[in-house]
Amino acid sequence: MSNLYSKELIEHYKNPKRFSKMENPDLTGVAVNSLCGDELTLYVKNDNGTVVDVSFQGSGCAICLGTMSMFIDSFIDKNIRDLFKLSENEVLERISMDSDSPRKRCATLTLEAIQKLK
Amino acid sequence: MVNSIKQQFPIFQKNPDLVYLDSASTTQKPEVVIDSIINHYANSNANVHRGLYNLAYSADRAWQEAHETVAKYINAKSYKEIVFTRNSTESLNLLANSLALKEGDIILTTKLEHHSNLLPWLAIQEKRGVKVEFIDLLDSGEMDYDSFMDMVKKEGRNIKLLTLSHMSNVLGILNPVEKYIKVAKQIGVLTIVDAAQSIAHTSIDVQKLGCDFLVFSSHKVYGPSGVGVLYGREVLLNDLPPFLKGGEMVKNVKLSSVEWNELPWKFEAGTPAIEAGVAMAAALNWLDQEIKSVGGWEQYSRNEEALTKKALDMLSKVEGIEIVGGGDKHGVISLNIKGTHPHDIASILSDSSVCVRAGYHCAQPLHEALGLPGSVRLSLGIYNDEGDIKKFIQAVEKVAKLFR
Repeated sequence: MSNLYSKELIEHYKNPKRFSKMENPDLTGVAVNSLCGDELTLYVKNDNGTVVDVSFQGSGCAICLGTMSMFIDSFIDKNIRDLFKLSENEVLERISMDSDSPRKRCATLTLEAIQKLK
Repeated sequence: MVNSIKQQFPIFQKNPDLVYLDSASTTQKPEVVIDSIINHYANSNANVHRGLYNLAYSADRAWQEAHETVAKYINAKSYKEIVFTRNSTESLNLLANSLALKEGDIILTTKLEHHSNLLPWLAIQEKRGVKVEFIDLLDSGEMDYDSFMDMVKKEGRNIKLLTLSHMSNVLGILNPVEKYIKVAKQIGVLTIVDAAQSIAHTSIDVQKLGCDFLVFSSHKVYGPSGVGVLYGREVLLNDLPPFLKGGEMVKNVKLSSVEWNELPWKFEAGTPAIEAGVAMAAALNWLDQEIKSVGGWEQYSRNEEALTKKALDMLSKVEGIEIVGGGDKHGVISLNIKGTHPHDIASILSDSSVCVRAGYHCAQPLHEALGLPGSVRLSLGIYNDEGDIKKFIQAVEKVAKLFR
């Protein structure tokens, strides 16, 4: 658990990257964790299937917001189809979380927001 | 060092570093309660109200004695006024389902209620057209008596039920329910006290409170989970129809007519959690002795208040701490750390073996009324000491520093 709250994660939580509402996004994905009320909204602009702009908004814990912030830059220039390929393992590894952590759902809310893009 | 009360709890014997500060969720169990459960199954197990053999007779006797112990503990007039349910929630659902409330009737409650004393009433509001009205809260989180009196003046005899939490599970404030009950009685309003939180923090005397009904759960007062209590005045319980129907609760069953069993068995349909009921009585007897040995409830409250105040003083020195609500806190403190989510706080505290609850604590409307996205709650039990508070503060300081 201690590894989980790395300086990097907390920095992302305090100053999340690309944290803003997007006007006229092509795709929007909303994910809510009904257990704790955390929510993420992911906005994507694409050009012929390639992500050209991305941003997010939301409220929640450090893991929820920090995880999205840690990944969001990497979405740029990616093919939308590749975005959907981001795996649970990649996410958990990146934030040093065990797969049986009680906080797993906080981390995978990022994945859910991607899956819900439409 | 494990203190002398903790020594009576196997969980603390086995985990001397455990800092358990979540007793408002559920208390730990002393050895004597665990032994009571083992003893029941090893020596006295039989169903109740049925058998004619000696073993069944002794199970029957233990079951009734458990009711008598509870009656004595809360100063009810007789065991007939004590119904064993699964928990406070079931006791309140029983009342919501069985009380004769109809369209146009008003139920008065507060915004600080646990969901268990809110949702059953909202459900019958929808189903039967009764109206649930809320007494306002002061900024401290204390109940606003003026708002209550305004409602009494405005709605008068349309108010049929007043149901109040004796102690807030978020704020730790002991509500002066007697004052409200007195007014309610003058205008013929039925009264329910939800003592789920207060049962382990103060003495409960139903005759002194003057309430018609009172509910609590065993697991919050050092007893096992799976059993709770509904107290009701005998004359009211006699007139109340049973909530659940089935075995144990009938005297005579014909296809054309049914005769319900006597009190309190009329409300105890099906085979109950017998071992849990018996062990709840063991827990109350144990607590009674422990409280006597510290000098009675008043002294216990003073000790608890001193420990709570110590925690509040130490917290006030940590940068970024925000305490939820005001009022006199009885062993329960909810807080936030500026810029930190409650779930992150609880997760990090867990690294130091500090157990606290994070979230809404089943009181979402209260958090909304106070404009909070949840909180972290420290709640004390009879076993907690200054050492626990110090470890808690150290862990909180760590979190505050991490997120500063």
